[in-house]
Amino acid sequence: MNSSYRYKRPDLAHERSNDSIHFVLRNQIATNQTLHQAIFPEVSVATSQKIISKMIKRGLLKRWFYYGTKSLVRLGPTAIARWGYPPVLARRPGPQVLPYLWGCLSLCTKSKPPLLRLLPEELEARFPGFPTSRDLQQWAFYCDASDETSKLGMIRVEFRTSGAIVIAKLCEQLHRYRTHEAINELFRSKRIFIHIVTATPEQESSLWEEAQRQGLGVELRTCHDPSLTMFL
Amino acid sequence: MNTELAEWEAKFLFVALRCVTQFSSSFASEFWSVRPSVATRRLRKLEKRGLLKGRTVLASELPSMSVPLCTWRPGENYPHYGRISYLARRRWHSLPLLVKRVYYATTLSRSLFGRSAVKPPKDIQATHDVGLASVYLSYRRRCDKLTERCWLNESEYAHHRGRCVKVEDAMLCRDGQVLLLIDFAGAYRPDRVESLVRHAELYNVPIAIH
Repeated sequence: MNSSYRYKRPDLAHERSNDSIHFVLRNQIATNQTLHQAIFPEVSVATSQKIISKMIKRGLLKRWFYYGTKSLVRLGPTAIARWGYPPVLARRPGPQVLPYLWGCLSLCTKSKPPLLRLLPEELEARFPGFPTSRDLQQWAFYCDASDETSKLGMIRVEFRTSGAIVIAKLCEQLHRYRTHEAINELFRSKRIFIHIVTATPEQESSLWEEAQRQGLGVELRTCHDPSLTMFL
Repeated sequence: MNTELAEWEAKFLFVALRCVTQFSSSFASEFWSVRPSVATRRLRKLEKRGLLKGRTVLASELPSMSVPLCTWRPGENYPHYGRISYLARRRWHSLPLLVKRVYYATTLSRSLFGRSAVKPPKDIQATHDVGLASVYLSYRRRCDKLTERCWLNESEYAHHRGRCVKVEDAMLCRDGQVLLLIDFAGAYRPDRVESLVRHAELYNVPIAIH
Protein backbone atom coordinates (compact mmCIF):
# COMPACT_ATOMS: atom_id res chain seq x y z
CA MET A 1 0.00 0.00 0.00
CA ASN A 2 1.41 3.37 -0.94
CA SER A 3 1.22 5.86 1.89
CA SER A 4 0.89 8.86 -0.44
CA TYR A 5 -2.44 7.41 -1.54
CA ARG A 6 -5.45 9.41 -0.31
CA TYR A 7 -8.47 7.29 0.43
CA LYS A 8 -11.77 8.91 -0.45
CA ARG A 9 -14.43 8.85 2.21
CA PRO A 10 -17.44 6.80 0.98
CA ASP A 11 -20.37 9.06 0.05
CA LEU A 12 -23.41 6.78 0.21
CA ALA A 13 -26.77 8.04 1.44
CA HIS A 14 -26.67 5.95 4.63
CA GLU A 15 -24.03 7.04 7.06
CA ARG A 16 -23.72 3.59 8.62
CA SER A 17 -22.96 2.07 5.20
CA ASN A 18 -20.20 4.66 4.84
CA ASP A 19 -18.95 3.80 8.32
CA SER A 20 -18.96 0.08 7.52
CA ILE A 21 -16.94 0.56 4.36
CA HIS A 22 -14.53 2.86 6.15
CA PHE A 23 -14.15 0.30 8.96
CA VAL A 24 -13.31 -2.46 6.46
CA LEU A 25 -10.98 -0.10 4.59
CA ARG A 26 -9.18 0.76 7.84
CA ASN A 27 -8.81 -2.80 9.13
CA GLN A 28 -8.63 -4.48 5.70
CA ILE A 29 -10.88 -7.28 6.99
CA ALA A 30 -13.93 -7.47 9.23
CA THR A 31 -16.33 -10.08 10.53
CA ASN A 32 -20.06 -9.86 11.15
CA GLN A 33 -19.36 -9.69 14.84
CA THR A 34 -16.78 -6.88 14.69
CA LEU A 35 -18.95 -4.82 12.33
CA HIS A 36 -21.88 -5.31 14.67
CA GLN A 37 -19.84 -4.22 17.68
CA ALA A 38 -18.18 -1.27 16.00
CA ILE A 39 -20.85 0.12 13.69
CA PHE A 40 -24.28 -1.18 14.67
CA PRO A 41 -24.18 -1.80 18.43
CA GLU A 42 -27.75 -0.46 18.80
CA VAL A 43 -29.37 -3.07 16.52
CA SER A 44 -29.68 -6.82 16.97
CA VAL A 45 -27.15 -9.26 15.52
CA ALA A 46 -29.73 -10.49 12.97
CA THR A 47 -30.41 -6.95 11.77
CA SER A 48 -26.73 -6.15 11.44
CA GLN A 49 -26.27 -9.34 9.40
CA LYS A 50 -29.09 -8.23 7.10
CA ILE A 51 -27.43 -4.85 6.58
CA ILE A 52 -24.11 -6.54 5.81
CA SER A 53 -25.82 -8.97 3.39
CA LYS A 54 -27.41 -6.05 1.54
CA MET A 55 -24.03 -4.37 1.20
CA ILE A 56 -22.58 -7.62 -0.11
CA LYS A 57 -25.40 -7.86 -2.69
CA ARG A 58 -24.62 -4.33 -3.84
CA GLY A 59 -20.95 -5.31 -4.26
CA LEU A 60 -19.78 -2.84 -1.65
CA LEU A 61 -18.43 -5.68 0.50
CA LYS A 62 -17.42 -9.22 -0.38
CA ARG A 63 -17.58 -12.25 1.86
CA TRP A 64 -14.69 -14.70 1.86
CA PHE A 65 -14.95 -18.11 3.46
CA TYR A 66 -12.02 -19.76 5.17
CA TYR A 67 -11.74 -23.03 7.08
CA GLY A 68 -15.10 -24.15 5.77
CA THR A 69 -17.77 -22.29 7.66
CA LYS A 70 -15.98 -19.22 9.01
CA SER A 71 -16.13 -16.06 6.97
CA LEU A 72 -14.81 -12.55 6.83
CA VAL A 73 -15.67 -9.55 4.71
CA ARG A 74 -13.42 -7.33 2.64
CA LEU A 75 -14.17 -4.50 0.26
CA GLY A 76 -16.26 -5.46 -2.75
CA PRO A 77 -15.63 -4.70 -6.44
CA THR A 78 -18.19 -1.85 -6.51
CA ALA A 79 -16.44 -0.06 -3.63
CA ILE A 80 -13.06 -0.48 -5.32
CA ALA A 81 -14.36 0.88 -8.64
CA ARG A 82 -16.41 3.70 -7.15
CA TRP A 83 -13.87 5.22 -4.78
CA GLY A 84 -10.72 3.98 -6.46
CA TYR A 85 -9.33 1.96 -3.55
CA PRO A 86 -6.37 -0.35 -4.23
CA PRO A 87 -7.68 -3.64 -5.74
CA VAL A 88 -5.50 -5.61 -3.32
CA LEU A 89 -7.99 -4.75 -0.58
CA ALA A 90 -10.65 -6.78 -2.38
CA ARG A 91 -8.61 -9.93 -2.93
CA ARG A 92 -8.67 -13.07 -0.82
CA PRO A 93 -6.13 -12.62 1.98
CA GLY A 94 -3.30 -15.14 1.74
CA PRO A 95 -2.34 -17.58 4.51
CA GLN A 96 0.51 -15.38 5.74
CA VAL A 97 -1.28 -12.06 5.87
CA LEU A 98 -4.60 -13.35 7.20
CA PRO A 99 -3.37 -14.13 10.75
CA TYR A 100 -1.69 -10.72 10.83
CA LEU A 101 -4.85 -8.90 9.76
CA TRP A 102 -6.87 -11.04 12.15
CA GLY A 103 -4.56 -10.22 15.08
CA CYS A 104 -4.67 -6.48 14.28
CA LEU A 105 -8.47 -6.54 13.99
CA SER A 106 -8.76 -8.43 17.25
CA LEU A 107 -6.46 -5.95 19.05
CA CYS A 108 -8.25 -2.90 17.65
CA THR A 109 -11.78 -4.12 18.34
CA LYS A 110 -11.30 -5.89 21.68
CA SER A 111 -9.36 -3.07 23.36
CA LYS A 112 -11.30 -0.68 25.55
CA PRO A 113 -11.78 1.92 24.19
CA PRO A 114 -11.44 0.43 20.65
CA LEU A 115 -8.24 1.42 18.88
CA LEU A 116 -8.19 3.08 15.49
CA ARG A 117 -5.77 1.49 13.07
CA LEU A 118 -4.25 4.35 11.14
CA LEU A 119 -4.71 4.73 7.42
CA PRO A 120 -1.50 5.78 5.62
CA GLU A 121 -2.74 9.36 5.18
CA GLU A 122 -3.60 9.60 8.89
CA LEU A 123 -0.15 8.31 9.78
CA GLU A 124 1.40 11.03 7.63
CA ALA A 125 -0.81 13.70 9.12
CA ARG A 126 -0.17 12.76 12.76
CA PHE A 127 3.50 11.87 12.45
CA PRO A 128 4.88 14.11 9.66
CA GLY A 129 7.93 12.83 7.86
CA PHE A 130 7.22 9.19 8.74
CA PRO A 131 9.01 7.15 6.04
CA THR A 132 7.03 5.35 3.37
CA SER A 133 9.46 2.52 2.73
CA ARG A 134 7.97 -0.88 1.97
CA ASP A 135 9.31 -2.67 5.06
CA LEU A 136 7.65 -0.08 7.29
CA GLN A 137 4.39 -0.12 5.39
CA GLN A 138 3.95 -3.82 6.18
CA TRP A 139 3.23 -2.88 9.79
CA ALA A 140 -0.12 -1.78 11.12
CA PHE A 141 -0.06 1.36 13.23
CA TYR A 142 -2.39 2.94 15.69
CA CYS A 143 -2.28 6.13 17.64
CA ASP A 144 -2.51 6.04 21.41
CA ALA A 145 -3.72 9.43 22.58
CA SER A 146 -4.58 8.34 26.14
CA ASP A 147 -2.08 10.81 27.64
CA GLU A 148 -1.07 14.31 26.53
CA THR A 149 1.42 13.22 23.88
CA SER A 150 0.08 11.00 21.16
CA LYS A 151 2.16 7.84 20.79
CA LEU A 152 2.57 5.65 17.76
CA GLY A 153 1.90 1.95 18.28
CA MET A 154 3.37 -0.57 15.86
CA ILE A 155 1.35 -3.78 15.86
CA ARG A 156 3.00 -7.14 15.48
CA VAL A 157 1.25 -10.51 15.53
CA GLU A 158 3.43 -13.40 16.70
CA PHE A 159 2.20 -16.83 17.66
CA ARG A 160 4.38 -19.29 15.77
CA THR A 161 7.78 -18.12 16.99
CA SER A 162 9.39 -18.27 20.41
CA GLY A 163 9.75 -15.10 22.47
CA ALA A 164 13.55 -15.08 22.12
CA ILE A 165 13.44 -15.09 18.33
CA VAL A 166 10.68 -12.46 18.16
CA ILE A 167 12.58 -10.04 20.38
CA ALA A 168 15.91 -10.67 18.61
CA LYS A 169 14.28 -9.95 15.25
CA LEU A 170 12.57 -6.86 16.64
CA CYS A 171 15.84 -5.48 18.04
CA GLU A 172 17.46 -5.92 14.65
CA GLN A 173 14.54 -4.30 12.81
CA LEU A 174 14.28 -1.37 15.19
CA HIS A 175 18.00 -0.78 14.88
CA ARG A 176 17.52 -0.55 11.11
CA TYR A 177 14.51 1.77 11.40
CA ARG A 178 16.46 4.21 13.54
CA THR A 179 18.32 5.31 10.43
CA HIS A 180 15.15 7.24 9.50
CA GLU A 181 15.29 10.64 11.15
CA ALA A 182 11.53 10.83 11.85
CA ILE A 183 11.51 7.42 13.56
CA ASN A 184 14.67 8.17 15.50
CA GLU A 185 12.99 11.31 16.80
CA LEU A 186 10.00 9.25 17.92
CA PHE A 187 12.35 6.86 19.73
CA ARG A 188 14.18 9.73 21.41
CA SER A 189 10.97 11.35 22.61
CA LYS A 190 9.59 7.91 23.64
CA ARG A 191 6.54 8.40 21.45
CA ILE A 192 6.72 5.00 19.82
CA PHE A 193 5.96 1.55 21.21
CA ILE A 194 5.52 -2.01 20.01
CA HIS A 195 2.27 -3.85 20.63
CA ILE A 196 2.58 -7.61 20.15
CA VAL A 197 -0.49 -9.81 19.82
CA THR A 198 0.15 -13.46 20.76
CA ALA A 199 -2.03 -16.53 21.11
CA THR A 200 -1.26 -17.58 24.69
CA PRO A 201 -0.49 -15.81 27.98
CA GLU A 202 2.62 -18.02 28.31
CA GLN A 203 4.08 -16.56 25.13
CA GLU A 204 3.22 -13.10 26.38
CA SER A 205 5.27 -13.64 29.54
CA SER A 206 8.14 -15.11 27.54
CA LEU A 207 8.17 -11.93 25.43
CA TRP A 208 8.47 -9.79 28.55
CA GLU A 209 11.29 -11.95 29.91
CA GLU A 210 13.19 -11.81 26.64
CA ALA A 211 12.61 -8.07 26.20
CA GLN A 212 14.18 -7.54 29.60
CA ARG A 213 17.03 -9.97 28.92
CA GLN A 214 17.89 -8.67 25.45
CA GLY A 215 17.17 -5.00 26.21
CA LEU A 216 14.53 -4.13 23.64
CA GLY A 217 14.96 -0.42 24.27
CA VAL A 218 11.41 0.58 23.41
CA GLU A 219 8.13 0.40 25.26
CA LEU A 220 6.49 -2.99 24.88
CA ARG A 221 2.80 -3.80 25.19
CA THR A 222 1.35 -7.25 24.76
CA CYS A 223 -2.01 -8.94 24.63
CA HIS A 224 -3.20 -12.38 23.64
CA ASP A 225 -6.03 -13.68 21.53
CA PRO A 226 -6.58 -17.48 21.66
CA SER A 227 -8.53 -17.36 18.38
CA LEU A 228 -5.19 -17.01 16.58
CA THR A 229 -4.61 -20.72 17.23
CA MET A 230 -6.99 -21.53 14.38
CA PHE A 231 -4.24 -20.44 11.99
CA LEU A 232 -1.85 -23.12 13.26
CA MET B 1 -10.98 -27.93 9.21
CA ASN B 2 -8.85 -25.90 11.61
CA THR B 3 -10.53 -24.54 14.65
CA GLU B 4 -9.36 -22.60 17.64
CA LEU B 5 -7.47 -24.75 20.15
CA ALA B 6 -9.87 -25.83 22.87
CA GLU B 7 -8.89 -25.21 26.48
CA TRP B 8 -8.33 -28.92 27.13
CA GLU B 9 -6.08 -29.14 24.08
CA ALA B 10 -4.06 -26.11 25.13
CA LYS B 11 -3.73 -27.47 28.67
CA PHE B 12 -2.57 -30.84 27.43
CA LEU B 13 -0.01 -29.27 25.10
CA PHE B 14 1.30 -27.16 27.96
CA VAL B 15 1.76 -30.31 30.07
CA ALA B 16 3.35 -32.10 27.11
CA LEU B 17 6.09 -29.51 26.84
CA ARG B 18 6.50 -28.42 30.46
CA CYS B 19 6.00 -31.58 32.50
CA VAL B 20 6.88 -34.52 30.29
CA THR B 21 9.15 -35.11 27.33
CA GLN B 22 7.63 -38.08 25.54
CA PHE B 23 4.43 -39.88 26.36
CA SER B 24 2.24 -42.66 25.04
CA SER B 25 -1.47 -42.65 24.26
CA SER B 26 -2.20 -44.27 27.64
CA PHE B 27 -0.83 -41.11 29.29
CA ALA B 28 -3.20 -38.98 27.22
CA SER B 29 -6.06 -41.35 27.94
CA GLU B 30 -5.58 -41.02 31.69
CA PHE B 31 -4.89 -37.29 31.52
CA TRP B 32 -8.13 -36.60 29.69
CA SER B 33 -10.01 -39.44 31.45
CA VAL B 34 -11.23 -40.81 28.13
CA ARG B 35 -11.14 -44.18 26.39
CA PRO B 36 -7.80 -45.05 24.71
CA SER B 37 -9.39 -44.91 21.26
CA VAL B 38 -10.64 -41.36 21.91
CA ALA B 39 -7.22 -40.31 23.22
CA THR B 40 -5.52 -41.74 20.14
CA ARG B 41 -7.92 -39.85 17.88
CA ARG B 42 -7.29 -36.60 19.71
CA LEU B 43 -3.54 -37.13 19.59
CA ARG B 44 -3.70 -37.77 15.84
CA LYS B 45 -5.65 -34.54 15.41
CA LEU B 46 -2.97 -32.58 17.25
CA GLU B 47 -0.31 -34.41 15.26
CA LYS B 48 -2.02 -33.44 12.02
CA ARG B 49 -1.91 -29.80 13.02
CA GLY B 50 1.82 -30.06 13.62
CA LEU B 51 1.57 -29.53 17.36
CA LEU B 52 2.67 -33.05 18.35
CA LYS B 53 4.99 -35.45 16.63
CA GLY B 54 4.41 -39.16 16.94
CA ARG B 55 6.81 -41.98 16.16
CA THR B 56 7.07 -45.67 16.75
CA VAL B 57 9.81 -46.86 19.07
CA LEU B 58 10.77 -49.88 21.12
CA ALA B 59 10.02 -49.17 24.76
CA SER B 60 9.01 -50.83 27.99
CA GLU B 61 6.33 -49.44 30.21
CA LEU B 62 6.30 -50.11 33.93
CA PRO B 63 3.02 -50.68 35.68
CA SER B 64 1.60 -47.65 37.51
CA MET B 65 4.09 -46.37 40.10
CA SER B 66 2.39 -44.72 43.02
CA VAL B 67 5.09 -45.30 45.65
CA PRO B 68 8.70 -44.20 45.13
CA LEU B 69 11.56 -46.65 45.57
CA CYS B 70 13.16 -44.28 47.99
CA THR B 71 12.41 -40.92 49.57
CA TRP B 72 15.08 -39.01 51.39
CA ARG B 73 14.84 -35.75 53.32
CA PRO B 74 17.80 -33.61 54.43
CA GLY B 75 18.83 -34.56 57.96
CA GLU B 76 17.65 -38.17 57.65
CA ASN B 77 20.00 -41.16 57.55
CA TYR B 78 21.26 -42.00 54.11
CA PRO B 79 19.30 -44.82 52.45
CA HIS B 80 20.88 -48.15 51.53
CA TYR B 81 22.08 -47.35 48.02
CA GLY B 82 22.71 -51.00 47.09
CA ARG B 83 19.17 -52.02 47.99
CA ILE B 84 17.60 -49.20 45.97
CA SER B 85 19.83 -50.03 43.04
CA TYR B 86 18.78 -53.69 43.28
CA LEU B 87 15.06 -52.77 43.37
CA ALA B 88 15.46 -50.39 40.44
CA ARG B 89 17.30 -52.97 38.33
CA ARG B 90 15.12 -55.94 39.21
CA ARG B 91 11.88 -54.42 37.92
CA TRP B 92 13.24 -54.16 34.39
CA HIS B 93 14.21 -57.85 34.13
CA SER B 94 10.82 -59.30 33.30
CA LEU B 95 9.56 -56.41 31.20
CA PRO B 96 9.40 -57.00 27.45
CA LEU B 97 10.28 -54.33 24.89
CA LEU B 98 7.16 -53.38 22.99
CA VAL B 99 6.60 -51.46 19.82
CA LYS B 100 4.92 -48.30 21.06
CA ARG B 101 3.83 -45.06 19.55
CA VAL B 102 5.16 -42.13 21.56
CA TYR B 103 4.53 -38.44 21.10
CA TYR B 104 6.38 -35.26 21.92
CA ALA B 105 5.63 -31.54 21.57
CA THR B 106 6.97 -30.02 18.36
CA THR B 107 8.83 -26.74 17.95
CA LEU B 108 5.56 -25.16 16.80
CA SER B 109 3.75 -25.98 20.03
CA ARG B 110 6.81 -24.93 22.06
CA SER B 111 6.76 -21.58 20.24
CA LEU B 112 3.05 -21.24 20.84
CA PHE B 113 3.81 -21.25 24.56
CA GLY B 114 6.85 -19.01 24.22
CA ARG B 115 9.47 -21.77 24.54
CA SER B 116 12.58 -22.01 22.38
CA ALA B 117 13.12 -24.98 20.12
CA VAL B 118 14.97 -27.98 21.55
CA LYS B 119 16.41 -31.07 19.94
CA PRO B 120 13.82 -33.82 19.47
CA PRO B 121 14.14 -36.53 22.12
CA LYS B 122 16.07 -39.65 21.17
CA ASP B 123 14.40 -43.01 20.62
CA ILE B 124 16.55 -44.54 23.32
CA GLN B 125 15.03 -42.17 25.92
CA ALA B 126 11.50 -43.36 25.22
CA THR B 127 11.31 -45.90 28.07
CA HIS B 128 12.60 -43.37 30.57
CA ASP B 129 10.33 -40.56 29.33
CA VAL B 130 7.21 -42.73 29.27
CA GLY B 131 8.07 -43.86 32.83
CA LEU B 132 8.51 -40.27 33.99
CA ALA B 133 5.17 -39.36 32.41
CA SER B 134 3.49 -42.08 34.46
CA VAL B 135 5.22 -40.76 37.61
CA TYR B 136 3.75 -37.34 36.81
CA LEU B 137 0.31 -38.89 36.51
CA SER B 138 0.71 -40.70 39.83
CA TYR B 139 1.48 -37.38 41.58
CA ARG B 140 -1.43 -35.77 39.80
CA ARG B 141 -3.72 -38.58 40.95
CA ARG B 142 -2.60 -38.25 44.56
CA CYS B 143 -2.80 -34.47 44.79
CA ASP B 144 -5.65 -32.52 43.24
CA LYS B 145 -3.86 -29.25 43.79
CA LEU B 146 -0.89 -30.31 41.69
CA THR B 147 -1.17 -28.18 38.60
CA GLU B 148 1.05 -28.28 35.56
CA ARG B 149 2.74 -25.15 36.89
CA CYS B 150 3.99 -27.00 39.99
CA TRP B 151 5.85 -29.65 38.01
CA LEU B 152 9.00 -28.69 36.14
CA ASN B 153 10.57 -31.11 33.72
CA GLU B 154 14.36 -30.94 33.40
CA SER B 155 14.08 -29.48 29.89
CA GLU B 156 12.69 -26.31 31.49
CA TYR B 157 15.71 -25.56 33.65
CA ALA B 158 18.62 -27.89 32.79
CA HIS B 159 20.23 -25.29 30.50
CA HIS B 160 20.61 -22.92 33.46
CA ARG B 161 22.70 -25.45 35.39
CA GLY B 162 25.66 -25.44 33.02
CA ARG B 163 27.61 -28.36 31.62
CA CYS B 164 28.56 -31.53 33.50
CA VAL B 165 26.26 -30.72 36.41
CA LYS B 166 23.84 -33.34 37.72
CA VAL B 167 20.24 -32.64 36.81
CA GLU B 168 17.33 -34.61 38.25
CA ASP B 169 14.42 -35.52 35.96
CA ALA B 170 11.85 -33.15 37.42
CA MET B 171 11.07 -31.02 40.42
CA LEU B 172 7.98 -30.03 42.30
CA CYS B 173 7.88 -26.37 43.15
CA ARG B 174 5.51 -23.75 44.46
CA ASP B 175 5.88 -19.96 44.47
CA GLY B 176 9.41 -20.24 43.16
CA GLN B 177 10.46 -22.64 45.94
CA VAL B 178 11.61 -26.18 45.19
CA LEU B 179 9.69 -28.69 47.32
CA LEU B 180 10.90 -32.01 45.97
CA LEU B 181 13.35 -33.37 43.43
CA ILE B 182 12.09 -36.33 41.42
CA ASP B 183 14.06 -38.89 39.51
CA PHE B 184 12.90 -41.88 37.54
CA ALA B 185 15.47 -44.64 37.98
CA GLY B 186 16.59 -46.81 35.15
CA ALA B 187 18.99 -49.68 35.87
CA TYR B 188 20.94 -47.46 38.26
CA ARG B 189 24.11 -48.65 39.97
CA PRO B 190 24.48 -47.88 43.71
CA ASP B 191 26.94 -45.03 43.06
CA ARG B 192 24.41 -43.33 40.78
CA VAL B 193 21.75 -43.52 43.49
CA GLU B 194 24.23 -42.10 45.97
CA SER B 195 25.13 -39.20 43.68
CA LEU B 196 21.43 -38.34 43.38
CA VAL B 197 20.99 -38.26 47.14
CA ARG B 198 24.17 -36.19 47.54
CA HIS B 199 22.87 -33.84 44.88
CA ALA B 200 19.64 -33.35 46.85
CA GLU B 201 21.66 -32.84 50.03
CA LEU B 202 23.69 -30.14 48.30
CA TYR B 203 20.53 -28.18 47.52
CA ASN B 204 18.94 -29.08 50.89
CA VAL B 205 15.81 -30.42 49.21
CA PRO B 206 14.05 -33.81 49.63
CA ILE B 207 14.30 -36.28 46.78
CA ALA B 208 12.04 -39.09 45.60
CA ILE B 209 13.50 -41.81 43.39
CA HIS B 210 10.90 -43.75 41.45
